[in-house]
Amino acid sequence: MAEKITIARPYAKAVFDLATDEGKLGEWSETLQLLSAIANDADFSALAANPSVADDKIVELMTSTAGDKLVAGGEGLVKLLIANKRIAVLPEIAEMFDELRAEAEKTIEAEVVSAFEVGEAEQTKIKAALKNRLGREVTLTCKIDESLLGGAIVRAGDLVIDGSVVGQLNGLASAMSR
Amino acid sequence: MQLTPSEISEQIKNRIKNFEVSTNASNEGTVVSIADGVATIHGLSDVMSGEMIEFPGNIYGMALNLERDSVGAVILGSFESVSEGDTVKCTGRILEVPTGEALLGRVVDALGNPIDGKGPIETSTSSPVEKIAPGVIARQSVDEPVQTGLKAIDAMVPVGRGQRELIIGDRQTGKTAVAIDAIINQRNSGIKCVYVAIGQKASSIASVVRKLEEHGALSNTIIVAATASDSAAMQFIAPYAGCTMGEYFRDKGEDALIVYDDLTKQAWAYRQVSLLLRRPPGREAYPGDVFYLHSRLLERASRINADEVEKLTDGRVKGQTGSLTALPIIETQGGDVSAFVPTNVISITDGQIFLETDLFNSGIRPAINAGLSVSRVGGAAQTKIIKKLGGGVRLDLAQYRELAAFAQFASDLDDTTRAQIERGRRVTELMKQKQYAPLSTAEMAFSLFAANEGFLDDVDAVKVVDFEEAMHAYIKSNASELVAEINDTANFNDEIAGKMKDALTQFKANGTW
Repeated sequence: MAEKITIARPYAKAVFDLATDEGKLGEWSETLQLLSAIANDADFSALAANPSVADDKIVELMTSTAGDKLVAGGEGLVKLLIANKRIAVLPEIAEMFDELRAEAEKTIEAEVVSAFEVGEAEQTKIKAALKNRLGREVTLTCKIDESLLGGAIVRAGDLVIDGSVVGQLNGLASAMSR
Repeated sequence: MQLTPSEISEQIKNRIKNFEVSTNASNEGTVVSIADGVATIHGLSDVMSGEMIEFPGNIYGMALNLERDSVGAVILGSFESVSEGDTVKCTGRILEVPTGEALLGRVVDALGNPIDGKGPIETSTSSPVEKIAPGVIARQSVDEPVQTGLKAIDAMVPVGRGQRELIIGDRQTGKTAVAIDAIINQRNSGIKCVYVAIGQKASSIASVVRKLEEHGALSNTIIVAATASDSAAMQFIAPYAGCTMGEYFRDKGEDALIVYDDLTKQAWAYRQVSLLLRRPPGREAYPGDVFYLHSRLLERASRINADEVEKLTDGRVKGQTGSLTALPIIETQGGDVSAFVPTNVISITDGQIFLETDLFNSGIRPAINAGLSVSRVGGAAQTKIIKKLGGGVRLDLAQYRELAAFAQFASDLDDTTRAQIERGRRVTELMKQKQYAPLSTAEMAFSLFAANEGFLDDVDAVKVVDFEEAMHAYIKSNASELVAEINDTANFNDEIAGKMKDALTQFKANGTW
């Protein structure tokens, strides 16, 4: 049973290679986001799954909704996906493309969830520390979550650094119960 | 002495104070699907094969399948509380269990947690469950015996320290009984024992614990229990956990004995886990590496030389070899020893003790088939006296088996044949032994000597067992010095033979049975 990611991988790799050759990583990223938004739409997916609707009608529908935002070659991708009946994996293709792009450009998106507001100075410090650790440029997004009681959790990809008070309390609880 | 309430809260306060508050970085993933104790996880990009991963609620799992886009893990323990979307953390540790003397006398589960209600176990060391067996240079050949206390085994298929001897037979043939008698006989020998129960009824394990306690053998035994109601992952891990606990003693220059009861159920559990992890099934639906499952477990039971012990203990223990003897148990179906798993394990071990239903039903217990049972270590693992006296037993039984068909025509045969048949009958009777009654070296020596020297030839075949019992009681009271000498030195020379002969002649003249 193949996973969606496994199906999406060849397409994402192909689009990424094409985008790198043309130097249009940013535009392709936007196009893919747009297309996956359309693919996620309930009405559209119902229509795409309907066997009595002709393929080129669906391609037309998608490209016309996307309008000018579609990059050159985007229509070709849509045609290919619909012909292979893989239009539903567009979101995974978009995700994987962004991952490949981040890998190539050595960037990473990190999220800081804290109980209190994080000041500018602190944000810069966190960025620098993460850059040291991960070796990439970091774009930081900040979120507030009061249930943490204090401290912060930093997430970057699969790496999670838990410095929150509630995390330490949980650790204490499990250590005591042993 | 009871703790007062304030002392208890003092303890808690101290524990809280000493709790190390640390921020740690961990690798996380999300559970995508969970079914039958197997979880599929997305993320966990830094996970290692066989690593312990932590699910919410202090539940641990082992990462077994590392695929490109997902990780397949088995959950060690109850998996009802894990649900899709839960966050899973890497712990950075390969699965390990606590080891040490504190485990002796306790009943633990496959992860080393106590389940006998006698309080927590304080151990200072823990060791990985999967370890590489000692290399060729580190080993030493087996030449010291493990006295099982069973005449049939010590005389005909002796087990040495560091050997692997398979106990194989159908259900209800006395396999566990042989293993338990071997453990009971180690209560004074200095060999530490580990009994690993895999997939058994909890009531059976409870009765084993009670019996060991009754006979004073529990205090130097560790019991690792993965009952039939434990998950397949626990049943699959339990033998490795037990082996790690036994290796602790081996690596310290001491001797240990481990019983795996039984490996057939571990193979079933492993098959279940592999099929749920979608690994391709092979013969009898077992996964392709079921041989490796048992071979890497049994290779760890070995004898290591003194240099290796010195290296492993950082020079603290010098001049002592360490050993771990394994008695794996395999259950066959319908006496078929040519099935897949039995043939695998037979080819791995250094010999087998083959128990048969027919022998068991006809009253010969232990139901050892002397013809098919073998010990590839043989005489090197016998004390001098048993070696000298036991050699004849095998031969007598073999000759008896050849002539067994003629036993019905006893009156029409020539004298030599009749004598052989009669001798064989008496030796067969002599090899019978009660459960939970292991014999000392001296008692065994006297029984074998009596058989060899013809003291049994004029005893009625059906009274041989009573004769033996009465003889043992007699020599313990009337020849106690000789008994002590044999038990201590296990020597055999003409002088001792003469003394034994005198004692037996006296017994036959005066004793009753």
